[in-house]
Amino acid sequence: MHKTLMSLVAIAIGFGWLGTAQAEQPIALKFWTFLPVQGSDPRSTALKGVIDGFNKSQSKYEVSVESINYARIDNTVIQSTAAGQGPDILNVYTDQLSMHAAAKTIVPLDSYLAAMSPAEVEDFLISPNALRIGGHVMALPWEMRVWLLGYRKDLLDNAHQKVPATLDEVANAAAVVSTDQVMGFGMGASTAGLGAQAMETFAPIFWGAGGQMFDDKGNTTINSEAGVKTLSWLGDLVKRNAMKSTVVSMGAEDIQTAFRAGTVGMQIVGSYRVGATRNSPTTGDNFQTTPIPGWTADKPMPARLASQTLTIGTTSKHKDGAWEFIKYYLGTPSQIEFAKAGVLPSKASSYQDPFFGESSQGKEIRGWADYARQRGRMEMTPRDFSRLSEELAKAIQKVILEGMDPKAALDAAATAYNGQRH
Amino acid sequence: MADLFKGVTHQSKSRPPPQDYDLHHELIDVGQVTFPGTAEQAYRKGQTSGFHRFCQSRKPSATHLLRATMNAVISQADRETIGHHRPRVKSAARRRPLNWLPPLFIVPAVALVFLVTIYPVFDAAVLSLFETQYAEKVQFVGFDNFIHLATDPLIANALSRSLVYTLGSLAVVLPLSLGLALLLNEEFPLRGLARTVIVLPWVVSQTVVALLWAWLLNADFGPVTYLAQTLLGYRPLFLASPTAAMASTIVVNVWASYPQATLLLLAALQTIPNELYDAAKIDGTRSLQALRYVTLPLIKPTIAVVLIQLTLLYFNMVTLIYTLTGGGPMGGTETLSLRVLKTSFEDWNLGQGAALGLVITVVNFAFSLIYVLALRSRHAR
Repeated sequence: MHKTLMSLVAIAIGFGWLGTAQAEQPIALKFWTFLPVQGSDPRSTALKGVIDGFNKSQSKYEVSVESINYARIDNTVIQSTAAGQGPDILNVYTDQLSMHAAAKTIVPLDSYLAAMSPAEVEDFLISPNALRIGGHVMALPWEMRVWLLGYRKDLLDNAHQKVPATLDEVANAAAVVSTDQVMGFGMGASTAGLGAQAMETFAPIFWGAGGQMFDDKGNTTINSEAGVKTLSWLGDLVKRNAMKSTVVSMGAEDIQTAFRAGTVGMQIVGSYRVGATRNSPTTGDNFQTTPIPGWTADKPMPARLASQTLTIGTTSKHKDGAWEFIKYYLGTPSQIEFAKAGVLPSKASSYQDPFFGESSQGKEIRGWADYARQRGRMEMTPRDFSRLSEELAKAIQKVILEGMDPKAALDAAATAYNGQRH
Repeated sequence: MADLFKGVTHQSKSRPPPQDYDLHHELIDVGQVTFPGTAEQAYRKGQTSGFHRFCQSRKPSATHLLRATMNAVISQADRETIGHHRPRVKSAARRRPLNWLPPLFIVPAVALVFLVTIYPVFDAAVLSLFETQYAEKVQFVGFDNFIHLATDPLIANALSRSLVYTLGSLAVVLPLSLGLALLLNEEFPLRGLARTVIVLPWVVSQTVVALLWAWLLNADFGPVTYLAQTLLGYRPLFLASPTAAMASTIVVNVWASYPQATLLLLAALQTIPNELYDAAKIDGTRSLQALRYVTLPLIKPTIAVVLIQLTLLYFNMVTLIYTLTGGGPMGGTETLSLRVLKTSFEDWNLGQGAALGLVITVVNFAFSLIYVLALRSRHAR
């Protein structure tokens, strides 16, 4: 009897010890993002710092990162979530947010947002309300990006061209600097990467011409007068030898590589690509940016604004832990860490840091943020936005390769996109 | 290898088979090499070959071991052909209880094939009957997805591009591989190195091949474009028009896949006995005639296998095309398989994607059947 009692006590102590040991184990959280934790990209170093910082800052949760290529991450998340294996925390690009909401891979953040003070909510440069889908805030921006005109200062100087102030001047300068080896103006007009670069170049010019991407019913109106004007301008670049027809086979990565190789003079470029484009002996500090010139000098172009956001996965079993991580990621130290990697912080208070007043990089980022605040335009895109981008890329290709009438090309794109919606 | 084989064959034929030969085929482990045949049998055969010396020295050369192994195998084959022990084999088989071990070993493989091939095809067949929203089935729609495919001009265009891509690649790969295999079958210095180098493209993944060629052919900074411009005086646009992009994609595909065909054909060429060529020479045939009347008929089955393999490979190819051109420009390289990917995972219409996938499976079966039937009818003649 005594032995039995002793054994029971020993077992109970054993289980108790096991239970304590288990309680001490941090809860594992999966964070899926397009950024790799390792690698030479300064953003990767910043991400690693943020992850390590969070894991050291508390003992309840431990975040591990799974990096998935940006072209595959959305598909992977949808499939994994359907299999009940989605991530706890998820990085979503604003253009894909509607798709994730429709695919039910993410959960609304309303309840968490309600716990934040109004000042904290207002601190976001891109309002969380801009990320509402179906009445719910689905994500919070951790960075923002704005599109600019990137140019090679040395090429323009050598050709005695000033920095363009209108689109006409862009075309003229591009034609002048173009040679057999150099393309004056470049854009990615292939369907690679879901035609994203074609849309990124087209959209601000189209808005500047007074265009609206969608009507009230969600049908695209890119075949409007503004669309025709924009596509005609792009087609004329090729006719004037300011841009080569080879752009139809180039995506965003190709244009960036070409820029770094010194074979492109100007492009419309996202602020997040500036650092990598400069990181080449050919370009270096000769790669400069300026706001996208308007159709006329007195009417500046709207700046396209987008953001990488953080949200919580539907299948997450530790949503509160995921929220803790998101709060840390959105904190000022993390924002500054990313800013030093060339990323625009998403919160106004982050720009109070001395980094933005002291370093040249900080000053440039602050300049972009001011530009985004003054002229930034962000539109929530429909869930099949990538299909529209692809149809637009095909329309640009038809105009460039076949000399197709821009109106007919855009009509075909609009018909293809609107047709599949019904 | 051919000479070694010839020598062993003569040797085994010159020696009468032992009367007490046991057809039971067991394995004798000698160091790291496994010998087929009984120990006594191997020893007996080894007396006139390297095996005897191996038994004495315990330090066999690779040639000795190989020769001894072949002695054992070929002698056994000779006896089976002569038919000395057939009655014993049959009676032994009758007496032996049913061996469940082989089917047991096959079970995991069959289960794996079922899990990764048969079940997904069945699942796709079910999915093709539904309207889907992302990964969810929304509504049963019967054959609507198939009807949509039949009426969608995108699909018809993709099918024609698939045929151009597949047949175009085959038209280049087959003659090229046969030519290379014939060359590599000849004796020349550094033949081993040449064989290794020629196989290299095969070991590179399709993604890497596509990225490599995308860089090489890039119109702005590609070395091939630069070289062509230097030589021709103008800059060829390899990927910037639908026709040129299709031609370039075929060339890249040929580069990536010719080693597979070359190796198979080379292996087939090595099985043709030299005596046949000697006899043909005595009959007065020239090289081309020997190729036509001796080589090609004998490797015809291998050519058929190569045709089936490559047709299926090309028709189902996605990675290389997607990475190299993304299906563009203007959809000029968008094949049926690429359309499946885009329909399923870009447009997120899994129902239609599954239907299209099934259509491709049927087309694959049709291709295989045509080749097999063609091969059989030629054999029958």
